[in-house]
This record gives sequence, C-alpha cells and structure tokens, in this order.
Amino acid sequence: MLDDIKLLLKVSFPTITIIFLTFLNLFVSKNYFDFGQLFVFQAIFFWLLYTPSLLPIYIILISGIVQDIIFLTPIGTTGLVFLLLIFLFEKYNKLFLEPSFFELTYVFIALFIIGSIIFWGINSLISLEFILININFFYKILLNVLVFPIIYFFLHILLKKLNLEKKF
Amino acid sequence: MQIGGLSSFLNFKIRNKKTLTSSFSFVFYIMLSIFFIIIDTQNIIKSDIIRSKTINVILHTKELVTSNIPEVNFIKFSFNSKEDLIFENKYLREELKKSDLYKLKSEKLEIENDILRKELALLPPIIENYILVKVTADTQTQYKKTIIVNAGNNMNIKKGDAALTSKGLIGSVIDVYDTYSRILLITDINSKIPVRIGEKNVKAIISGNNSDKVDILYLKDNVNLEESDLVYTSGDGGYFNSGIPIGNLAKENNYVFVEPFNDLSEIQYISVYINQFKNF
Repeated sequence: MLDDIKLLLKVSFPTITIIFLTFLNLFVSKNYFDFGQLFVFQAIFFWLLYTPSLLPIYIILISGIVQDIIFLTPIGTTGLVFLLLIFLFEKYNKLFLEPSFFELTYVFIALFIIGSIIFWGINSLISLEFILININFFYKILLNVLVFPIIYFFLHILLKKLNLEKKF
Repeated sequence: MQIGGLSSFLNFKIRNKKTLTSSFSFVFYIMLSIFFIIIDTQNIIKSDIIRSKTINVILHTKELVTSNIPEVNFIKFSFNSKEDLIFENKYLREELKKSDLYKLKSEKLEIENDILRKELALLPPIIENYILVKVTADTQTQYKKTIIVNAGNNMNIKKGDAALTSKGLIGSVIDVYDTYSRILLITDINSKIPVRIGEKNVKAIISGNNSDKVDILYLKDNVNLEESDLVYTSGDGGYFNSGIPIGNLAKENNYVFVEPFNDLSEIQYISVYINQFKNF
C-alpha cells in the first residue's frame, strides 16, 4: 500500500512541480518578480527532456487553462502556446541526440521568445488590435531566462534523487 | 554537487525518446484549446462560474500556505531593544497628536463639503460604505491589468463598484467570486471612465492602454488644458461617484495623458466603495 502511494507520488512528480510553479508564480508575481504566464514552461521543458512519458498532454493543457483563469486571458490561449512550443521542441529534439546544458539553454531562450511572440499574437488577434510591446515584454523574457538555470538545477537534483529517469 | 556530479548536470543523455506529438491525441488537444478559446471569447458558455470556482480553490490554498509560513518580521520584532521601543513609543505619540489634528481638519472640511453639496442640490449618499480589502494576487500582465482582492459576495461587493485608495481611484470591480473579487485597473485597455479635467471642468473619457499612462479620449479640439490639472471622475454613466481623484494631466511632446496618483504596481490595501451612485 505504502509502496503504491510512493509510486503514485513519483509518477505524478512532474505534475506536482508544475502545480508548485503555478503557485510560486502567484506568490512572487509582484513588482520586479513578474514572471508572466509562461513561467510554468520552465518545468514543462525540463520534464519533456527527461521523462516525457510522465507528463501527459492533458496536464499541460490544464496547467495552461489554470494560468488563463488566474490572469484573465481567454481560456485555452496559454495551453495552445504550450502545445505549439512542445511541437517545436520535439522537432528540435529529433535533430540533436545529446545536447549540452548550454545548447539546451539556447533552445529554451529561443522557445521562450517564440512562445511570448505567439502569446502576443493570439492576444492581439483576439482583441482585434495590435497590442503594443513594451519593456515588460522583454523584461519577462530576461527574467525567465535568468531563472532557468536555477530551476533546471533543482529539478535535476530531484530527478536524480527520485530516480525518475531510470524507472520510467 | 553530490548527485550525478557536475558533468552529468551539464552534459547528459536523453534516454527517453518517446514523443508526445507523434499521436493523433496531440492534434486533438490543439483543436480542443482552439475550441476553448472560441467558446470563451464568444461567450458561448459562462466561463465566469469556472473561473470563480477555480480562483476560490487556488487562492484558498495560497492563503492556507501563507498563513502557515512563519513570519520573519514577527521574529525580528521580538528582538527589538528597549531603546528602539522607547523611540518608537515617542514617535507614535507624536504621530497620534498629528493625526488628531488632521482628524479635526478633515471633520471641518467634511462639514464644509456637506454644506457646499447641499448648495448644489447634490445631497451626499445616505450610507457611505467602504470596505478595506487586501490585494491577494497581483495578476497584472502585459495584456490584462487586474488584481484580485480578498472580499467578494461575502462582503456584499458588486460588479462595477469603485476601488480606490486615499490617493484616488484605481479601478472597478469586474468579477465577484464567493470570497474574492477581481478589480480592473484604470490602466487596462478595456477601462473607460468618464472624467472632468481641471478647474474648467472639461469633460472627457479616459482609457487605459496597458501602460503606466492613461489616454484621454473624446476631447474637444480647441480645449486648452494645463499641465498638472487634476483629473477626477464625473459620475456620468452612473458607475462612479463624482469627484474621485484619478491623477494629474501630463504632457510629453504633443501627447497628453493622465498620470495616476497611485502606483498601481505597489498597491497592497484598497477601499472598495460599495455605495453606488446609481442607487442614490
């Protein structure tokens, strides 16, 4: 029974980290620590790399919907951006077999910028006017890029500690 | 680094090559998210109910977690020295004296204001009901300028109620949940407020543009406006009481805009004015 619970917790660990990042974003999103709606993509990116089998697409879609509910954007927009980024990521994933951490950082930066632009495009399309891109747009990208190695580092430790990579 | 070593952290192998996008379900989820966007933007379903329930659950969880985190300031406070306490006591006594003076002054101004309102045949509302609320979540993004506060249906807050601080108006309530409500800030692109400007009482409508500056719309061509003129609500349309200050007029080259009195990124406490102009 206890082993079953442990296994269940292990299997759902990527989902737990996504929920944690959603709350963290809500806690810290004030003034200069405004990571924006795509902050959760940090965890999605990491788990897609190591254990994609533990991260079902519906979880990604639901996490996007939760972000939309919190930030009052049309339901489905963040989920759609996440799905499009996953599609792009998997195209990239086929090209490189053993990317280094630095290569991955470049990929994350590229994907995050693309995601922010897609998100801006969808929002502009929905509101039927070009929403002005201001300094906050670039600041959020910069902030997420700066935080990426820290989150990656902690998730990597947890991944090794829980042996998720080997078992699943 | 103990686990795996630095080399494994920087240079690893991707073991699991199973792709998420290889199945038809991926296309299905893409279509599903587009479907959600359409039904939400076209108001085919009432997403308010889903939003309300979800926000209640999320924010209650957040409150539960924050209430269980030990407060660092409280621990720090318990180590205050006697000198600090004496100094603080002295300072607070002075502040109390000052506030008494301000109270007297404000009472005098209130009486004067009542007399002037009666002269204008604009009797003040019978019940002036403010609720002091705390900002629970700052949900401002580049696309939406909203915040969530910790009072909703439980405190009789209604859609359209004005939200303000001692400095002036910050926005209006757009969504009311059970114990929370969402406030649309004056800087949001969807915020349109009828105002009057300066001593000349020039009528206009202000509109946010998702930046710190607020645009002025529908101004007559030959109106001369002075920089730093006060902008306040006109009460037209029946959503806000008249005379709530919003900001000062500012000019940059030929661009005229309103600079709000409140720094909307640093708001912590807000008064929600639940006595509606339309009821009086």
